[in-house]
Parts: sequence; structure tokens; C-alpha cells
Amino acid sequence: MGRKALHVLKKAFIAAITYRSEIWLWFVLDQIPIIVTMLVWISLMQSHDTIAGYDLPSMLLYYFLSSFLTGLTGTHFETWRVEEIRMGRIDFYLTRPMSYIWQVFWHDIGGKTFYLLTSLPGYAVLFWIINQNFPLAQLQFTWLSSLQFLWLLLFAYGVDFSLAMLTVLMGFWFEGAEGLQHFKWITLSLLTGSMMPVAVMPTWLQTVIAYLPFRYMISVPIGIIQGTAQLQLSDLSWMVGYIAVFSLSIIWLWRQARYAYASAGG
Amino acid sequence: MTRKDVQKYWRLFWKFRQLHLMRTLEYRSNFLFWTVVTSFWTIVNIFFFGILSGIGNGIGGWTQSEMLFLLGVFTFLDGIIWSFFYHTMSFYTKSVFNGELSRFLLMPVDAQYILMVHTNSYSNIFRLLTGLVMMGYAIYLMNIPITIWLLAGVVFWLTVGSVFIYTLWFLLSTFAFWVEKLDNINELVPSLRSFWQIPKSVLHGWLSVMFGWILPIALISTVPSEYVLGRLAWQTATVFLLATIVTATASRWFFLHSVKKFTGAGS
Repeated sequence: MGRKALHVLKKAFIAAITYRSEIWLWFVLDQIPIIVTMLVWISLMQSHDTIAGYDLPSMLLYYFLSSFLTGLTGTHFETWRVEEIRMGRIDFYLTRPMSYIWQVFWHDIGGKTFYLLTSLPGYAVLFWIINQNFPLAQLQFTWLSSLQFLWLLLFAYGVDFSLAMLTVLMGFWFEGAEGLQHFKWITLSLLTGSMMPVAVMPTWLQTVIAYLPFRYMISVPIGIIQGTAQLQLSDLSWMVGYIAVFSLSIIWLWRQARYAYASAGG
Repeated sequence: MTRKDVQKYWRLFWKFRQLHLMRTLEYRSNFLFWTVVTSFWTIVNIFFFGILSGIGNGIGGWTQSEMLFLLGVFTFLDGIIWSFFYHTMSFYTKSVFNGELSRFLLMPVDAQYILMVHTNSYSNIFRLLTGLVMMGYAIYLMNIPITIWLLAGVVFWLTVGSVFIYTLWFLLSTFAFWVEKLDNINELVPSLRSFWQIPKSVLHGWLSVMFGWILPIALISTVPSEYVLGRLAWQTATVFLLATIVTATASRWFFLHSVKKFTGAGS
């Protein structure tokens, strides 16, 4: 598996280099809503020292980290992967020694690696610019919090990838399944805390969020490096459970999907 | 342009709407699906700003009702963007790349007009209606008397805002004649929408100068809202109007100039 995975990863990395200007443009465009939201908070904080326990430096840091985490863990392959299925272009994946699901996974990791390498300097510059104008709160890194943060990064990617993969697999039955990714975006922006800190949300929504895994993707990791949250053993078991449910759903759907697939060459 | 021409263009506009309505009704489930998607996005947007505008003195000093009106303007314009502009511009840049534009240049009508009106989507009907309802409800909440001048002013500034967005976008898309594979250019204007989702007073320093005066995209929702609230400064109105005239003229000139470069074999 190792060599095969590395080969797919390398191929995806090279393909990503071809689209480097597109990746950079998306990086810049993705920061615009975050910056505008920061400006809104700056305006709101003029009449308040703190809102829901956040002062201005920690609120700005929250949004910066939210953008960083979303960029790092987000997946965007639904549209072209669904099209690939619809157009009958996945035949050769079915005869290769690597499952289609793993091919999608390692390909995405390859693209993600390139994004990581190119966007990190961009995030550093953005951090510096914001910090020059409005000092951001200090990051609170310890060995334990760093480990927890890294684990949560992997979890966030796992959930995002799983939702994207489930959308792709729907493409075997529904035309235009890529439209389902909008529900992923809506769900994640509302329930992860990327739109606003959970503490600012209405109580009923906080209760809903407390029962779902999505808070571990943005809200909790930011809380950990802002020193306002700690992972418990029960959290870890919930996360493992969620990943298991997502993985089993993907495996089950993939088994059904193979029988729904047909393609004809001309 | 004669009266007959105006009638011809008017008829063409509605002919295309009719054709697209027929196509939409052919794929009803697709239409319903996308209507649900756009409705969800609209609700999430209202939800987000509803919470923020309820905090303290409101966003940029705008009260909750004032913000509701501004968001109504934004939502309505968003409906126009996703119903018309996005589809039009995506087709426009693609047609330059693959040479399909030739077909439009040979038609006995203005090429820019036909490019602008020949396609649309009906999935944003909910968004357009929501925008109108939000504006109406905000006016009711603020006890603003509805007069013919108020309605005429709102229609006028919404039209100016739409023209400004369209011409700015068209200007940028026309670079497709000059730069190869400029697919992402159509994502630029939608990404800038965040700047007219908030009152202009939120922006400070160079951002305020940049997006409030030089490229006044921050005025797109602010101007119609300030007009209704009775606090639109003539300087702001003039800047916005001038910017629209400049982008409209520049985009038209740039299009006509760029078309001369078009070979019909794709760029």
C-alpha cells in the first residue's frame, strides 16, 4: 500500500503544481469573508470589552485560526469526482490494485500537501498584517495542547473527507449529486464554529452542537490553543466512534455503488 | 436606437426568459433542489447577521432594523447575481476560450446585450423574494412612510447597484480575450460580495478609501439603505453614480476593443 499510495500522492502533487495560480487565487479569495467578518467584530467591540468571553484580540485570533483550519482540513473534490463517475471515467480505477476510495484519499492528500506548502507563507503574512494593525491574542502551546491540536486536525480532515466522499458516492445514483456539497458547507459553517464562536450562538443551537461531532473540527481545536478548552478521554472515544461510523458508511455505500456503475466506450 | 429596436430587445429578453422557464420546468426536481440550497444559504446569512446586529450598538452603528434593510438589499442583489450574472459571465468567458462567441457576434442584435440576457437560472426566486420581503418588513419596523419617491429611489439605487456589479464583472471577464485560461476570474466578484454585505461605516483607513471611494463596492448595499433611512450624503451618491458610469463606459469600450482581437478560433 505504501508505495502505491506514495505514487498517487506524488502524481497529485505534480498536478497541483500545474494549477498553482488557481490555488493561490483561491487562497486570497477565501480570506476576504474572514477579513470582512473581523472588521464587523472590530466594529462591534468598540462598545464592548468582551462578548461571550472573547475580547478583541482573542476574537480576531479565533477567526484567523478558523480560516487556517478550514483551509488545512477542507476538501473540494466533489464536483469533478461526481462528474468523473457520471461520465463513466472511473473504469480503470476498478481494475487497479488500489481501491477507488483510497485513490481519492491519497490524491487529495497529494493536493493538500502542495496547498499546505504554498499557503503556510500566505497565512504567516496574513497573521503578520493583522497583528500589525490589531494585536492578536497569544497562542498557548504546550506539548499536550499541541498533540491534541494535531489529533483534532486529523479528525477534522477525516470528517470533511468522509462527507465529501459520501457526496461523491451519491453520484452513482443521482445526477448532479455534487450539489449536495452545499449541504456540507452549510452544515460545517454553522455547526463547527467557523461562522462564529459557539458561545455567541443561541442556547438552543449550542445544545444541538454539543451532541454533534462537528465542534471538534474548529471550535474545540481553537479553544485548545487559546487555553479555553481541554480534551477529555470521553471526547476521544466519541471522535473514534464518529470516524468509525463515517468509514463504515463509506465502505457500505461503495459496495452498493460498484453494482450501480455502468460505462460504455465508443 | 429606434422605438422598433427597443421593442425587439424587449421581446428578446422575455423570449429567453420563457425558454428558460420551459427548460426549468423540464427538470423540476433539479429546480426544487437548487431552490432549497439557495434558500438555506439565505437563511444562514440572515441568521448570522441577525445575531451580530443584535449585539451592543449594532454593526457599524446600524440598528437591527437598519441592518435588516441592508441585508434585504444584499439578498435581493445576490438573487440577481446568481440568477443572471454568474451564468452569463461563466458562459461569456468560456465562449471566448472555445470560440463560440462567433455565433453571438454574427447575430443581428448587439452582442453584449445577447450575451447578457440569453441565459439565467430560476433557482434564486426565493432569494429575490426574501430580499424584497426583508426590505418591506424593515421599512414597516422603522415606521418609514411609503411614498412614490421612496419606491422610485429604491428602484433607482438597486438598478444602479446591479449595473455597477454587472459592468465591473463584465470588465474583468473581458480580460479573457487577452489572458489565456482565465476561468477563475468569475469567482472574483462573488468573493468581493462580503464588502457590500456590511455597512460602509464598518470599513476604516485605507480599506474605506479603497472600497468606499476608489472602487466603491462597499456602497452597493449602503447607498439604497441610506437613501431609505434619509441619510444619504450627496457626495456618497455622486461617487457611486460616477463609479457606475465609469465602469459601464469602460466595460463597453473594453469589450468593443477586445472583440477586434477575437479570431473565432478561441483564444
